[in-house]
Amino acid sequence: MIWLAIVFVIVLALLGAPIFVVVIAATALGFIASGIDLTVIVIEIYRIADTPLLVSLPLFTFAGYVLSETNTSQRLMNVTSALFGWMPAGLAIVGFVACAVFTALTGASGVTIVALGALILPMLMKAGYSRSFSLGLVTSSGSLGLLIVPSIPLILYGIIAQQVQVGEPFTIPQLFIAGIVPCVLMLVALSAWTIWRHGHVERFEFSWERIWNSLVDARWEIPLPFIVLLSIYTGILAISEAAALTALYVLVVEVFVLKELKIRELPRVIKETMVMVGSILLILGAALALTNYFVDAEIPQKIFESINATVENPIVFLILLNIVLLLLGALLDIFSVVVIMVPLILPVAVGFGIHPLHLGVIMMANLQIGYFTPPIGMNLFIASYRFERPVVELYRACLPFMIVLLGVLILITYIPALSLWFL
Amino acid sequence: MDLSLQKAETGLLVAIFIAMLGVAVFQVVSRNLFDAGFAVGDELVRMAVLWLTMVGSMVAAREKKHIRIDILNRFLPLKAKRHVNQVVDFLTGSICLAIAYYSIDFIKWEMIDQTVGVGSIPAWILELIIPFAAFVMAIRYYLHIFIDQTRVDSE
Repeated sequence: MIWLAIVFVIVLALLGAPIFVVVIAATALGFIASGIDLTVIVIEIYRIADTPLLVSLPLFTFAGYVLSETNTSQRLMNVTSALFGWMPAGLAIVGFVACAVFTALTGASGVTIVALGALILPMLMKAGYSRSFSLGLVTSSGSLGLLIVPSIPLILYGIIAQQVQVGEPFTIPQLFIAGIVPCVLMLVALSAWTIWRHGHVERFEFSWERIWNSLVDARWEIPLPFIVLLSIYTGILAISEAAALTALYVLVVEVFVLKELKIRELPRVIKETMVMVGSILLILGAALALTNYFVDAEIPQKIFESINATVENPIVFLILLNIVLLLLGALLDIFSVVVIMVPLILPVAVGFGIHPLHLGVIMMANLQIGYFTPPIGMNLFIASYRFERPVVELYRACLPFMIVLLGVLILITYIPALSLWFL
Repeated sequence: MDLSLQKAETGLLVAIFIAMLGVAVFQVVSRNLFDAGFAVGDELVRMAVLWLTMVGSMVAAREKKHIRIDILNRFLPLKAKRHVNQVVDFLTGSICLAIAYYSIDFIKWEMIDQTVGVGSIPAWILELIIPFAAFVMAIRYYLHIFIDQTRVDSE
């Protein structure tokens, strides 16, 4: 009977039912089996109105949407290419850095490839990089910023992990600090590999004038990362406070100062933002109910016991975890994986002595690679659609980037200090 | 009818979001510069998140933009896809209906308990958005059964 219910839920998901419906169906079946009234599910959904941290989500998402509607991506490219374009393989490094920053600012929803990829791709090819390399770069970099403030998947991880309440307690700013070194490591590894393979490609000349001009041009956006980074990393502001200031700042600058987004466009942008926010938060609400059921039915303990019966070594567990997460990252969208898997995996991982912060970093790194893992990583399809290239060509193009990032993933998985050095 | 509801939805989202942003910024300023935050303000902002979620979800249901996995569907022949979509829409609508039903139950308990929502407004009034949105979503998914989405997609 239980297996029948599980199969039903999985089929429902595969056939394309909305994830919130799938999660609610699973939760409801679970509660029915344990004879608990289904009103519990609504109580958990109502928790959306009771989690201060969640306030940051609509605010950051709105800021990201506004930025992707304006010429911010162009100015970001100009600044980064003036700063890094003189280095060997400079333009490629520009691509990595710009993508990471843009992805973090816009919440990792695939807009990086659409907004920034279309700018970077022709620049790379004109500078002499092969088409395959250029396509691989823009596709695989579309998820690079998942570990940087204010990455929304990372915030969601924090919310769910705190809900589960196992292992060492931690704060959201600590989660972002834990992500710094792994993210820098990814950028360095990708850049080093590019310099080794494509170091001969033409560079820009270093010019103070160019740097100055690009900075002046982007003077309104330059303060933005600093507001977010400084206020959150130093703890001056709470995440939701930083989000409010970011949203207000972006709104004022892009609509009233630069006038790149017209006021009459605002209702559409707000509507689109909230469709996205609504669909993420409804999944989160449903997942809180599912978490409640998991805890109630002691499912994580059972998983831990059955894994522990065959696997005793944390390293073997981590290898398995990496494989499962990579697969899930390719199959599901990132928000669903985070809200469904964290309540299941976190207690198990803590059982193996893994720190919750470390698990968060491992998860994001896996999901980031999952985004462009063949055959069905979401960004492969977005890039295929955007650049009008067959998906199979993108598989080949992304492969080297994937190998480099998998190398970094192994490092950050097996050297916890890379994420936990500050504790 | 649906057009005016669409306009009302967008208008509501804009109004709630702008209000939320305004209150949130006011709170940051008063807390950090004058060391005086208002509890009501925090409650208001948190409630706005729920309302944005529910109204945003209604729009997402209309536009079929709720996040979903789309693997099997991608490999199905067009005709089979249409029927599969109809079944999925029916199940989705029914689950939304169930959410509406149980949230009314939840609201009854909140009325009995006289839970306070924002300021002196009873919580149950603000929570009415949950059954309302769930009900609208149910209707919209039931309506999708009769609209040939595969044809819309291929255009």
